Parts: sequence; C-alpha cells; structure tokens
Amino acid sequence: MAVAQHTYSTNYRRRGAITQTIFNLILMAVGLIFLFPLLLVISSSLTDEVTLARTGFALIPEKISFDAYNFIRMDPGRILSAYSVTITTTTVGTVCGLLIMAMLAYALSRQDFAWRKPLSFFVIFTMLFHGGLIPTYILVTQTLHLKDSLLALILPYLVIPWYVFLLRTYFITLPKELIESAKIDGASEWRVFFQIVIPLSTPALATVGLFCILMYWNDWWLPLLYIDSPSKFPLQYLLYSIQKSAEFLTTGEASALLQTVELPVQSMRMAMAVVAMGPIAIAFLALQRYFVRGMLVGSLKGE
Amino acid sequence: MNRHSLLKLVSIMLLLSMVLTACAPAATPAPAPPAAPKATEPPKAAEAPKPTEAPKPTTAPAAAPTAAPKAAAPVEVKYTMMFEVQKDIKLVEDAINAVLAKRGINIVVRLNSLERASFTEKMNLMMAAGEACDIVWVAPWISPTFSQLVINGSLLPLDDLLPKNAAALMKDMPPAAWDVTKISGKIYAVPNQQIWVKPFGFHFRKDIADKYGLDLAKVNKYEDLEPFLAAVKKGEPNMIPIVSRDGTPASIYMGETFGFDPIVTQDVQAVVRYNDKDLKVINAFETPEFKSAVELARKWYQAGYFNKDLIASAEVAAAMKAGKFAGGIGGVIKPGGDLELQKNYGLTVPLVQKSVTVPFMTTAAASATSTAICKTSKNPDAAMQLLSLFNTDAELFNLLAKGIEGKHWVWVDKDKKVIGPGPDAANYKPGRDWMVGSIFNAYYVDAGQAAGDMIGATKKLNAGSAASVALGFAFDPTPVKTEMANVTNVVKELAYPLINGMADPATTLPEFQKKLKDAGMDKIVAEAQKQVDAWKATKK
Repeated sequence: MAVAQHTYSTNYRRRGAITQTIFNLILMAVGLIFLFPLLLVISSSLTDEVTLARTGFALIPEKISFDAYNFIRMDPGRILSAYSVTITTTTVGTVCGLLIMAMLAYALSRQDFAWRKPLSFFVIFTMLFHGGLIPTYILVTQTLHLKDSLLALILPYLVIPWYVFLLRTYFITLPKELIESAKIDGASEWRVFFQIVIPLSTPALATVGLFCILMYWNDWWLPLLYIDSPSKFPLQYLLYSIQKSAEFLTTGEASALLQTVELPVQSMRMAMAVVAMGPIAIAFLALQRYFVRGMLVGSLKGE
Repeated sequence: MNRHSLLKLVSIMLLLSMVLTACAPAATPAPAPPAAPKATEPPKAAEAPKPTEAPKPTTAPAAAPTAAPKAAAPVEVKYTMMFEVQKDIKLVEDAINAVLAKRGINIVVRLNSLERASFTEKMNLMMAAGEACDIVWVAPWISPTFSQLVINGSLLPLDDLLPKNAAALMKDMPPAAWDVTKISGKIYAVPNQQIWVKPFGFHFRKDIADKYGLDLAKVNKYEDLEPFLAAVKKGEPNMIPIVSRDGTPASIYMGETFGFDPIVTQDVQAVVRYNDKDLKVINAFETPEFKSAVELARKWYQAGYFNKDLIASAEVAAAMKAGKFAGGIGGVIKPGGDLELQKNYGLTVPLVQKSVTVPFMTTAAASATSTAICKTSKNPDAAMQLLSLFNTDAELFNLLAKGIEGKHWVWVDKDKKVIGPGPDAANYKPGRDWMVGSIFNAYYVDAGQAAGDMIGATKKLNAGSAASVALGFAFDPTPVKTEMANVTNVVKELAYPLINGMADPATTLPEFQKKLKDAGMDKIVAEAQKQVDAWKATKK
C-alpha cells in the first residue's frame, strides 16, 4: 500500500502541481454538489416553518430554531421503538444472513461437493424466477404465520442469491492447497471454514455485510406489507408513512373531503430525515474503505 | 494492520450474533436457518390452493358463533379503514365495544387501521389472498378503487342485507344516494353522507377583503374580483393576491364551475353538462368555457395576481400564515369551510368565502367516500348492523371519529354539540370524519360552526342542489386504458400550466388540443358516450 502511494504522488509531482490542483478543484466541486442537498436538509431542519416558507431553503437559515426536533422530545417512544426495530432487524439479519450465505457459498465453491450443481441451480433459479407478490404474501402470512412479526422483516432478505455468488467467486480464488493442508493437519470441515476460509475472506464478507446492513436499514417495503402494529414499524417505514400521509393530505386526492388537520411540516420532515440518516452515515464512513476495496471482489485475487 | 481491524470487526459481528442468540427470546435467530430456504424458495403451485383453506383457522372463532344462539360469544367484526397511526386506537376500540355491550348488541369490533402509506398494497393483498375482512372503507379515488373491488368480486352486494339489518340507515339516507354506489343494478356500498356537491369559489383574508373593499354580494363570477385583486396588488407590495399550488391546479377552470359533470376523471375532462337531458359527452378542453377560463388565468398571471412559480401544496399553510398570500380560488366552498381553512392555515384573522358555481350533485362527489362489506365476511349481517350504527348513532360515530370523551375531547357547549381538545388529544385525532360514516353525526369542533349551523346548511345544500343528469353513472376505463394514460399525461404537461396561467393560451391551447387528439381523447369521448347511452337505456 505505502509503496503504491509513493509512486502515485511522485508521478503527480512530476506532471506538475497545476494538473493536480485542477483535478482537486474539480473533485472538490463534485464533492460539494453531493454535499449540498445534505447540508440543505440539515439547515432546513434547524429553522422554523414560517421562516422556511418566507425565505425558502437557505444554506444558512435566517432564524435558528430547534422546534422541528420537538417531536423527538414530545413523542420519543415512536422514534425510539422505530430505532430499536431497525437496529434489531439490521443486526440479526446481517449476522445471520452473512453466516448462512457464507456457508452456502463455501459449499458451492468446493469442487469436491457432490450436490454442487443441483444446489447452484436451486440458487440461480430463485435469482431468475420468483413466485410473485401474492404467493409470497400468502406464504409469509398464511403458511409461516409471520404477519406482524419481526421475522417477516428478516427472513425474506436472509439469503440473496447475488451475494451468494459474489462470495462463492471469492472463495474459489482461495488456494485449494490451503484447505487440503489444513485437512491433512486434522482440521474438520467446520474448522477449515471458520478458521481458514473466513479469516481470509474478510474483504468479501465486509462488502456483503455492508450491502446487507444497507438493505435492512433502508427497507420499508417488507414492513409495508407485513407489519400492522405501529410499535413494530422500522425507521424507514415510519418516515415513509409520515411522508405519504403528508402527500395524501395536500395533493388533492382527498381535497374535497379535507377537514382540519395538522400537517407534518416541512422542517419537521427534514428533522426526521436527519435523525434517521445519522447512524447509517456514520456506519458508512467507518466501513467505507472495506466497501471500496470489496467492490473489486471477484475481479482481483485476494491480497 | 488492515487485516487486524477487519478480523476484529468480523469477530465482533460473530460475538454479537452469539450474544443475540443467547439473549433474544428463542424466536429470533434460532429458527432462522431452517426457515431460510423456505423464504427464498419460490412459492409455486404447492402454495397456490392455500388461500381458500388457510383463512379458516384465523376466523374460526368468529365464524362459529353465528350458527350458535345469540347468547353465545359475541360476533367479531373487523373494520378496515385508513387512519394514520393513532396511538390510542386500542382504547377507542375497547370503548366502542363497551358501548356495544352496554346496549346488548352482541358484536365486538376489531379496528384495522391502515396508514395511507400501506393502504393500497395491504388492501390489494388482503383481497387477493382471500383474508377475512368485514367492513371496509372504499373510494373511487384511491387504489384499489371501489369499482375495481366490485369487478374483482371482493365486495358483497348489499341489497338484501340493507332492509334486513339497517332500517335506521335506510331512513337516514336520501334515496337518490343509493344510485351512486350501484354497479350493474346492485348496491355495493353505503355512501358516507357529507357534502355531495362541489361549489367552487374563492376565499380571502377578511382583513384584506375589508381593507380593499371586497363586497361579496357583488361578486358572482371570477371577473368581478378584478378591481379588488388590482387594489391588493397595488396596496400590498409583499403580498400576492392568490396562491397557486403545484399538483392538480386549483384555479379558475374547475369543470364543475361551468356546469360540467366530470364523468371520466378530473384530469380527463370528457364531461356531460349537468342539465343536458340528451346526455351528450363533450371534450371540455374544446369548449369556449375552457378557453375563456384559461385566458382569464393568463391575464391574472401576467398582472401578478398569482405567484410566478408554483408553491408546494405542503407549504401553502405556512405561506398563508407568513402573510405571503391574501387568499385562494378554485377550492370547494362548503358551509363552515372558512373556519376549517383558517385553522389549517393557522391564521388569527378570519376568512371570507363565496362560491361562484351553481352547485349540482355528481357521482364523483356523492360516491367520494363510502363503506362496503367484503365478500369474505363470515358475518355480513352483523357487519351491516354495525355499519348502520356508525352511520346513524352519534355516540358511536363520534367515538370512532373523535375519540373518547374527557380524554381525547371535552364538551365546550353540550347543548350546541361543540367539543374541544381533551388532555390526550394528540393520542387520537384521525381527522377523517368522512371516512367512518355520515358526517352529519359529527360534533362541532368550533363554536362558529355551530353558530352557522354547518350541518344543517350542508344538508340543505345537498338537498337543494340539482342532481346531474349523469348521477349514478360510473365510467369503466378498461376499454380505453392506454388512451386514458396518454391523455392524462398530455393534460398534466399542457393543461395544468394553461389553467394556472403559466402558459400562453394563444400558442399553447391549439398545441394542447392537437396533442389531446393524438393521444386519443376522441376515442375516450366516444367510449364514454357509448357507456352513457347504455346506462341511460338500463335506467328507463
């Protein structure tokens, strides 16, 4: 790594500082473009509704107000329970999913596994065909009886065929001799998997893990279908639901019927967005470097 | 070094998983692995026949008592409606059941409230999967629409149930109303009584109206507002006279203002004149009325009576409160509506309002919200009884619509039936009286509404308005689905800016009319005419 960085910067020094500055400026501009909406959300969550309506969105609000965050103080239960649901499904789902997918992918990567082909077919088949919404719904609610259960938020995303193949491709790149020698030394299959394969596959696992975290954290579709009690709403669905009800009240679907209502105001919606994106943004920053490296999984041999 | 921290990460993850497995109530991770293949497995043929047999166990306890004598366990009725999340909904459900038990009615209600966010999907899946449900709220403007549900066979015809179980409701409902929820001669829903006409008009802040001499008595059409608008524009440099919002325009051109009954949709204005005995379907966008309305809108836009850029609907209230606008046009002017709007805007000054439309009753308005019974209902008789109660019994209606007395609301003036917010008002305020029955049962939330006899005035408006000649006709869009989508797109692209005055009618109107033709507007008009004629034939 260090060596690579060295040649990289000397190369640039040779080409001249001007090119570098130009590139940096362009990248900074692009970075700002990406950052701008985020800052706008944060700044508009920090002002009050009337100011927002009068002056419009501004990077530096005319009047600072924490009114929008009052909903957290007034009804902390709702947001806290949504957080705990999201954290539970994300953690349990990611850990279990990663474990199952890794085991499945490892089995598929072993040339000496007799059932490799049928099992691969089974995984590929679900990648190409699925039963559709209504049969899935009937399976979950009437066969598995998971309606209004947190398991309904976890199970459907537990094994994603695409990630299984990503992991399998990575496992195949591990030298076969390593596994063989471990076996000669008397290691069981479990031991080979957990002590040899897993530690060597961290970039792939971190990538898939991050994908899973994002998938579970951002999911609003499964709760929309399966969750009835508000106490089991995850964060994203809570936001989606608030957004939808605001749209419903204002876009005229029911305009002729409209009666006195209290709208979730603009600044409050921004505040909710800030509250919801906080932790995942931090997680993303922390895991980013694995993520970037993991993107190359399958195209390069492991380190 | 990297590898080390990675190892740490993975081991923390694994540790976490162990901890979770240990602490979590056995249900969470333990059964996960065996169930996993099932979840990804495509539920094919094997799963398909299940819907018919699967619901049985869930409804079995409810189904049994119907056969048993009355003294047995009460009949359970599931009531599905669309409220946003209400914290105290369980308390309200218990309170309703307590009232039912007190009166010796052998029914318990289970409130199944879906949020707007999940209503469409959950309703569709509930119906497709054949899940048991009893009472459902339906509307023609929200998917799955009332007619879709009828076509799919999800709803039960009510013709036999009504006389048997809902005498009070039959007495309360104006007979003409049953026509609007009839499909192929059968009644499929109970229309919720509310304002059944659409008198469009304008509203302005009273302080501004007084300051610039708006004499309501002298304003009978939008043109009469011009001197007032000019005066506001001149006298209030920081205020725009009329707010123009995004989404469906609320402006000078609203079909009903010109006596057009929008029998197809609000966007696809293939209309019938409400008093045209011949029931001729016309393309409203080619009428002189539309042309003059968009020309007036353009004139006002250029004079600065509208905001130059549309404002998001969600921000209208705050903008009104901030004093950015003097008022609005193109809204339904209903009795007591000025008080509601004032509350919505959060204004301290009152509003004045007036309609410039001859009100008439249309299918779209009268069937805007109604309640139906599912085909899967195991107890249609009990469901009908309960439905009748929510429509005719003020105590039960207000319990569901406004919550529990002393908790969610308190009496302000019991004689005049005026209520105010209670100590726990925030925990239950669905704000959708019109969804749960006849709103004429509702208590007033403002003394001004009682003073103006809002309910009496609305009833009088309904009763005193002419019925459109097409009342009871419901258009089936299936044969012209593609054209409907194309025309709707053209309307959104070109008619909205025209109606808001943002496009110049001199150039855009001909372009719009040509594009409409290309998109198949004529075919829709012809199809609507065909259906209207067939409907007319069955009526006579």
